[in-house]
Amino acid sequence: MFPAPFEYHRANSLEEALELLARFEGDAKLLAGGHSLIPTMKLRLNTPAHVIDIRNIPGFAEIRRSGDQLIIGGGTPHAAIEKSAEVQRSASALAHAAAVIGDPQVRNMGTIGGSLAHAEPAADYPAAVLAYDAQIVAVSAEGERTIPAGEFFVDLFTTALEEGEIIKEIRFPVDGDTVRSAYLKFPHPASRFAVVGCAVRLTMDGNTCTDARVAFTGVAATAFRDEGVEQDLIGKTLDDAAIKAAAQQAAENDELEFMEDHFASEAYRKHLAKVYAERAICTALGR
Amino acid sequence: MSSWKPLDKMTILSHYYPRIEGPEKVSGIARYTYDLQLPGMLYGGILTSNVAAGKIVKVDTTRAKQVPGVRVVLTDIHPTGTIRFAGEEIAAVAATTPQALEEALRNISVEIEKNAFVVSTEDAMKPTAPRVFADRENVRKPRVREEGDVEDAFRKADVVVEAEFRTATQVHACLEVHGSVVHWEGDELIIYDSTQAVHGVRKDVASFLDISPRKVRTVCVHMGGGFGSKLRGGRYTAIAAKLAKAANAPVKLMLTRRQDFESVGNRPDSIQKIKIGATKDGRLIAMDAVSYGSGGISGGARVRLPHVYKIPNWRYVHHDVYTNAGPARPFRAPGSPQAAFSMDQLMDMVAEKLNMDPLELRLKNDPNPTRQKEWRLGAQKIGWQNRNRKPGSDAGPVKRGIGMAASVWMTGGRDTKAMLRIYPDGHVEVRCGTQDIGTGTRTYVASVTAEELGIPLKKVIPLIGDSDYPYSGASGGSTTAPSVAPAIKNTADKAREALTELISDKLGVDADEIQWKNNSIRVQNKTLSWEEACAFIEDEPIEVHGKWTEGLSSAGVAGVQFAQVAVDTETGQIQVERVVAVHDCGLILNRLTTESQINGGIIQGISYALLEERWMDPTTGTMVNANFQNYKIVGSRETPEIEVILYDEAERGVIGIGEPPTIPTAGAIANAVYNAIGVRLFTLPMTPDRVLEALSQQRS
Amino acid sequence: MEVPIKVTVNGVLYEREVEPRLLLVNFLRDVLDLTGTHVGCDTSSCGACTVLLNGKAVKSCTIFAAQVDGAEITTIEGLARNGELHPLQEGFWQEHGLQCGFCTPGMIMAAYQLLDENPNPSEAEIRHALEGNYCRCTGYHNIVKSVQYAAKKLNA
Repeated sequence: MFPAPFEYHRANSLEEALELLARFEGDAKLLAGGHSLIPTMKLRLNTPAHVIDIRNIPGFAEIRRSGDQLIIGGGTPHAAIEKSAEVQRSASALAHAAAVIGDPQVRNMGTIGGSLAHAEPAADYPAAVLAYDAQIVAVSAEGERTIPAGEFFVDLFTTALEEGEIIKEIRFPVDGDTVRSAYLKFPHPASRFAVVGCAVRLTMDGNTCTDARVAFTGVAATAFRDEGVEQDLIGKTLDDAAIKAAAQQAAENDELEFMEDHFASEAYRKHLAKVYAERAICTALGR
Repeated sequence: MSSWKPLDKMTILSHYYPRIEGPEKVSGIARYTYDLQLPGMLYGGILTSNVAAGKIVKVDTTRAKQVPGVRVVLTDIHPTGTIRFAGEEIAAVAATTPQALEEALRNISVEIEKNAFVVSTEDAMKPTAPRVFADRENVRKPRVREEGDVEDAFRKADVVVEAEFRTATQVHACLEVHGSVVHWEGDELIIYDSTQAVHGVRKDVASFLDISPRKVRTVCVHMGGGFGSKLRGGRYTAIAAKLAKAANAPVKLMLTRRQDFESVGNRPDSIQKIKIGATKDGRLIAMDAVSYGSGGISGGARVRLPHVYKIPNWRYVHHDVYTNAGPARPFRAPGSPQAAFSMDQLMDMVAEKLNMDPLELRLKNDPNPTRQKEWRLGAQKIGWQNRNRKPGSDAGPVKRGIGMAASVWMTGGRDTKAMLRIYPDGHVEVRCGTQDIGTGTRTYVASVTAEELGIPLKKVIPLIGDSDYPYSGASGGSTTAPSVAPAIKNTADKAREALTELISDKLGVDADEIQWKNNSIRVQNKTLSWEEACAFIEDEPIEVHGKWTEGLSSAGVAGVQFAQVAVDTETGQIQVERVVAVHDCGLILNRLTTESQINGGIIQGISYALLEERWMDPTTGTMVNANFQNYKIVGSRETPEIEVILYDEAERGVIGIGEPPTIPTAGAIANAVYNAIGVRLFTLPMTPDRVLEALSQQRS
Repeated sequence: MEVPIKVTVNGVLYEREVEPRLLLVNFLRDVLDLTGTHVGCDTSSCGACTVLLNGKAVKSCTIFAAQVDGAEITTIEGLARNGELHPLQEGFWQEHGLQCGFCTPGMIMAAYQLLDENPNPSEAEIRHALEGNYCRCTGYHNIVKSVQYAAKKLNA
């Protein structure tokens, strides 16, 4: 299968990429790792007249620590995130999520910026990004702006990014000594996308949870923070019973638009959300 | 009647040795059909229907013909114009690049007068269902087989168990899609095909094109998997031939993955309602079974009931059901994994009712003496004595269990011919019109020759995969080894006789005075090496022809498998942790390839048990998961520790082993799941949601 | 409009003009006639088309040839040295990690990266690393053994 014909452009800097984006006025797509874009182009779901290759922009795939922030370049491949000692140390849930995307070959090419911009509802990063309240830095000809993770995922394959914007980097708060985080998923057997993926980030004072972020992917049309679970964790001593009780609150929000397919019904996804909430919390706490 | 030499005299056969074309395959040199490039070759492709039923009204190719690089567009390739499933051929294109080909296919517009359709077996059975064939009922006339007095036997039974089992449609999913590269030399058609039957393709394609088989030659040097789906010639090959003729150029036509899923075969689904009766001392006495299944627009959905156990009184009524879906083709042990899934579960249900060890019940009712030994051996290896005595009794959310099931297959040899040449330098060339579908046929063509002539393997050049070579049948039904190996042995024996005769001529001694000892020849108190003996051959190589003979092969194998599973009762996920497989296959030609065949059968069985299911969309009539992104086949992480025990019966000669190891796996896993969680699964595949559903029904 | 690319494949520099939508796998197979890299699907699922791109295993069916300008590609044809099989190739042959062999080149290239990063992998790590490659014939059992064979030989 081949995409429809298009013109290929290679950008050697973000400025050049932005300039090209502006020039083609909405009839261009950005190509980084290509593992979200190329499959949709092959199926002719995407038929851009221009493709702008941003994979080789210097510095676009950097992982760096800046104070209490972990900054990951939009062009960073999943494998680099998965294997980075810095990410493993300061954002465990993100490293976990990166490590279970697709398969090793996919992780070598696919990038975090590409995955987030594509907003596949069963992708792994969105849950992690939400659990961290990460900041997505978008750059355009007009300059930079920061989009909080909570505002980023709008709908199925739809984000808060505007025409002409590129995800330059994503900023995560580092876990620190009192934070425990984890990401676990139940993969679809064939596609390896999440049937249910759960990211948790707990701030602990001894055995007491003082703050909790619990986010799901795969369950509904967009990834979401599950406040039902979070509220049930905060202020509690996290023993087995408390964890189980909180996990039972998962995916109970009436407004959720559940995903449903041949492999997993709404009821099954809802059930798995509770199981994975419990397992992710336990993993984060090292149980 | 000829016979094989004793096992302890064999230096190659029955041992472990790597396949001879291994180096080509691991270095990427081996060319599969998909890899062939001929000078001036065009890329061919087919536009298939995305409508499940209807009449082709108009095919407009105007825009397709304007695509740069397009050489030929054909619209007369459908034999009747009536579409009965999504995936039928409508038009075909040949172009200079794959991109141009795709562009042209996308630019053909088709008008189809749509008819009502039905894609699910159960829906098709309803009296109001649209008919797949206007002149026929969807539910075909039942086929009834009966022995003994079933009603009377049920009256005498102390226990009766019954259940309804369902199995899903499974797709062959060979890694290399179906396809051909064809070219015409005058009026002669040369076909390079990814096939299990070079001679069969010659015949079928000649018939499609209405030309003499004499004018068709089929070649298949390497091919990427068949499993039964490539046993016949394909319509796509005939279409490629028409494109090639019209373009006056060679054409490569490989199906797309979607087309491969939709149109070139599957293992049909089944709905099996089975009742069995037994006496209180554990003798099966009665079975009453009814089944339905759909091979789409074809038949072929029969289940091989009553499986392996001796039941004196039984009745089996089967109905093939037509649906608007792609036709079935034989798939590794047609009808058998379905039977092991149902019957071996029923065996465990009877055992439970009788409060009897399922192993004991099998030993009482299994008439096969080899399997009697295999059951005991397998039970010992898996640790049957240490199983959960009470199903579902493990503590914690992950529960383990063990289960077993049986295998039977009537393989056997048949007509195969071969030709052998000995050259003066001692090289031996063997030609046989069989093909290697990955099982190692090429290797044993060489090794049987080497063993019989007492020469090193590297002296033998096996030439197979060409319909110009002496006849051999399709590689299917586990018949290849018992067909080919005896023919090669017979031919090698004749070659030795011919060489003996030549030496006796040249030296002027009686043939009786020439003695063959392993790898040398004793004559007139001298010892000749193979090379020295061959040096008597002058210009013309020795050429002999041989054929399959009685006494070197047998039919019928037994086998048992035990599976250990871990079931996560919170997610419903089943992980197969260990499989012990005990199989017999007579004289083992190559232990390495035989064990690998068994491993492969088991993983296909696991895939069938847990993962594979064709989903048809009832609203569009198309296959929803016609790709590997949605149709899962088992991968490296879902495969267990496999322990293969080969039960040698060399005295029986060569028997096939392709099919038997895939038969019992799903049944053994299903019984293991019951042993783990105390709930039985009656539907394949045993997906996580089905496991949870069964668990929740048990609770309520 | 065609795009000029310079790419080193198995140590040989090629300069070609390619249509932007030409996939790397078609470039290798149809343009360079390196057909050891196979095609088993069109959804980056089966792994038969795995090659090394600057040393990393990637699925060449989901990369445009235009993207690899300036890169180094290694395909299955580039593993043997002076006619000697790479230990992975030898392992897949000797341990019978192949039957029909169609998946083998991709399987070997995926395993290559694993051993590059982890010279002593456990069985679980091998199975994990080969998650993106399907085999319909062998049972994976001997594939794992083949990788272990190579690891042992490379570490010797």
